[in-house]
Amino acid sequence: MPTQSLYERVVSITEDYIGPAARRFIDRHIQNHLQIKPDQLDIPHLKKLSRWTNTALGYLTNDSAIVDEYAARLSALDQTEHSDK
Amino acid sequence: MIVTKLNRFYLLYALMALLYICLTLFTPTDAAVLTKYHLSPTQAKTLSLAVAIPIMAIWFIAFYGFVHLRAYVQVIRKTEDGKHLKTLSRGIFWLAISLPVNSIVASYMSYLAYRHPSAIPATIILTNYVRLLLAIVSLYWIFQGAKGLASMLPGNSEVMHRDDARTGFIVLGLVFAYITLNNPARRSPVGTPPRAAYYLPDILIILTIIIPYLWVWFRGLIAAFYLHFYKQKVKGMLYKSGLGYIANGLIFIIASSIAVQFVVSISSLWRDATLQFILIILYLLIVLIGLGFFLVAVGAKRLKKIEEV
Repeated sequence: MPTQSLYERVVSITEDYIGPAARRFIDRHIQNHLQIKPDQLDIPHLKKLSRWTNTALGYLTNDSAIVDEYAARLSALDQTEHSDK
Repeated sequence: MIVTKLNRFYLLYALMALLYICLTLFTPTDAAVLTKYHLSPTQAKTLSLAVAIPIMAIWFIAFYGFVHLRAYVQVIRKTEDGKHLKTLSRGIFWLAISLPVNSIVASYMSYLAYRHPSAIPATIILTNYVRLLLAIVSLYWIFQGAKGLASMLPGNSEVMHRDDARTGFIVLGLVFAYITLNNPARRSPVGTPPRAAYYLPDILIILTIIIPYLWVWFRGLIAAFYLHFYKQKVKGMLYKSGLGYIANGLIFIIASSIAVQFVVSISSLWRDATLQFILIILYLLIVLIGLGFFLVAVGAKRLKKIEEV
């Protein structure tokens, strides 16, 4: 299922930054800001989710290169999903 | 509720610090100690306070480190890493509490020995076993927690088979056993004031002091390796930086605690050392423990922040 796969891919990318806390982090943002269940995550949600997660990551580190890299990877995910479809 | 779960630990700290201050200020100093170090009773009390205050500050840092680790663990307690960190934090609690408890028991036992000289052997034996018991409990939980964390990652079985861990342990064990069993003051009192280190026959020293300490230290050493392994292998650059503080802090705490236990257990060998030398060594080790707990607090605060955003 593409939605499930998108969610897992978002979690997988986030794990590179916040390790075992990634799934909790993504679930929290999906539920709090998108008001959907994690497995309902779809391409239209990605931009909004990315905005929130980038802000949160920016709060965790002063290194803007890390935040930019994370944003770029999530954004690339959006394009990949579009091309897959 | 005014006294929350977390600051109950600070209340416990305050009570123990108060008790220790009372024991330091209001119990008489052994006349033999005053003579040996050429001190007046007032100078001895001033010196005791000068030692007690930084020691109590380190206790506070230990409680501070534990409270922050616990706060983080409470947030993630239902996750897999949370369960193992919870076990580990139980060990950290016992390690934190062992600092004041050991000092209070030792001070009180010294007072009892001063009042009832015939009870000196019993007070020394009791003090030694309390210290050992707390070391067993704290390092048991730390080992279980560290092993659990490492078990979440592949390749963790290598940790138990590391040659440097075995070599380090064998060297530590042999040195400890040799020093302990060659200590002329291990069974009968020697020096001023006359005290023996254990007041036990050699067979009991081997079975109830040396072997349990070696078992505890081995667990501590392996726990440190497990934590190092987990820190190296776990994913997440921001998570790693927070966890690195906790892992390094715990490694510091374990290593310094083992060193303190080692130094204290052979302290009767230092009878001829100067007071200044003894104080410097003990301060140094206690400061290292404090630094370890401080690192744990910094790391726990960073990781907790990840769970809050």
